[in-house]
Amino acid sequence: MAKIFELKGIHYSYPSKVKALSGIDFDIDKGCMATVIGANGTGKSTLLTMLDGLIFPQEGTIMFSGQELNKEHFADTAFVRSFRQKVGFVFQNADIQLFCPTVREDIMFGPMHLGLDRTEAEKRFDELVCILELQNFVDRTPSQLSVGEKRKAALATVLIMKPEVLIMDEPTAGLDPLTTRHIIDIVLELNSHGCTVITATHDLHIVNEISNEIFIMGRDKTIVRRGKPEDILMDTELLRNNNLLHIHKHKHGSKLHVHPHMHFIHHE
Amino acid sequence: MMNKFGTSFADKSLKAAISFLEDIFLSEETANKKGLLQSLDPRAKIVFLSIMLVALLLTKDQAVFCVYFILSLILAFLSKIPIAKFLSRVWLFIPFFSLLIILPSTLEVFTPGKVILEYIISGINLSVTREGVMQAFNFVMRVGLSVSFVVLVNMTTRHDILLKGLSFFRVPDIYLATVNMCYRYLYVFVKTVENTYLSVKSRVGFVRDARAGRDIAGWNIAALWSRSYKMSNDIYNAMLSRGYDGSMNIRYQFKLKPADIVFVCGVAALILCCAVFVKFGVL
Repeated sequence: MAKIFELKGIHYSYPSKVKALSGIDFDIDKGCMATVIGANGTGKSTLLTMLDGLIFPQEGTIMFSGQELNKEHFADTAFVRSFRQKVGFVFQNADIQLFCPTVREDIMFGPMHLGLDRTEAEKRFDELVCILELQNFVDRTPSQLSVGEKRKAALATVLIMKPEVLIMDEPTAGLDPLTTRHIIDIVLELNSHGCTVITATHDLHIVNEISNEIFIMGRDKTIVRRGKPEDILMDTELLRNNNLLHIHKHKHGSKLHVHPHMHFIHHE
Repeated sequence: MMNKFGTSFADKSLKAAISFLEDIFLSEETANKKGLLQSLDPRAKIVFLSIMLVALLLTKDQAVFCVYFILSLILAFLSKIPIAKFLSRVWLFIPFFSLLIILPSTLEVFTPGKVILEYIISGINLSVTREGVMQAFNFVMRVGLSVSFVVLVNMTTRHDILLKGLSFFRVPDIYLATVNMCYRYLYVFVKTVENTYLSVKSRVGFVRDARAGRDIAGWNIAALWSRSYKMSNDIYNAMLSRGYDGSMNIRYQFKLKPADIVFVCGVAALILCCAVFVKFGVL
């Protein structure tokens, strides 16, 4: 299968010299659902920011559909437009993503800056508003929205460009179960139409559903393991060593039950 | 320092921040009502405001000021703005401060004329003249009414739509986008300050003295600066991610309705009538 992203020997440190990524090597197949999991501070967000061409590695190479992502290429307007149309990034903090006065303008920001035809943009806008159930607040200021509404609006700002790759940083953090379900369903629907989905999360409840492949990032800022969800999620030792799992104690009647905190494992 | 009512300057600052948020909500709320000014195109309102400000600048007649005052109340009523809130917002403090500024001009020393209050202390003439009082009245009315019409337009138009209206008058897009974002994130930061202060208060009960209050304010300012710096970088990245290339593309499409033209022409006619009546001594 064709590779959409290929990363080789990626190193990155923040200006404060704190190491964020150390020797990252991996690739992502076109059309797959890849999930990067890891505890807080393991470099997941930095990695996604790099995949979106917002920062560049200090060592190593990052390729997108056979083209290197580097400062030289991003100085070329045609390349930037093409890349930004193909790759959409949903930031962890929706307040960052929603910088316009109203949700409508935020959703239309991408099309207006990436040269999408206005009629086509408005058609896509109407479709998205229905799919994401944003009808009641498109003309409201983002400050007035709930967390879930903001998250859906943030997703819409990216989906309007119909990206080939959707990158999401903690897409369900702080959401109620219904909104989480809605977002997962949308992601699955997009993937069924060929969209590559790359997600970073430490919420193991959703990983199984939104992944064909999982990458675990460890405390040493490297990819410590790569594999299929069924293998990774059953390896409790691996998950516990990477702070993704803790012991869960609860009672069934009077009987104390102890098991790893994994909602996808059924217990007696 | 805690005063006898148990409030510190930090409490007062927090209340001011919350009051700011309430003002935003009130403006948003009134802007979304179905009233006269709300129904107008933002460009018509900007033209109306400009005409009113020029008219107020040129007016010297007290009767005309009264006509404009009544006009502001009628517009507030027709736009479903709570009259008490509107009057308190404009006429509670602004006239007082403008009066303080203009007070010396009421004295005979600065404005000679018919003395209506003779007052001499240690050989210094502090007598007040009729012309001086009229000049002060005109000044206060001019300031108060100017602010009234600005508040009317502000309360009946969402800030983003008002800024869109300005884009029609060739105000640069990058300037409008920057003001819009400032407004948007000011709200986020005020909310952050409020939450931080409440979290401090919930842990320590209340701020015991002025020094502790200053320390908390200091941390807050430093933390807020650091957060705003990080946020500005993140927002810039979010903009880049969606195709921002240094130029803002926020051209809007407005539709001017006959009602907008009728309104602006009506106001212009009223101003013209006032000028004619004053000229022929009717007012």
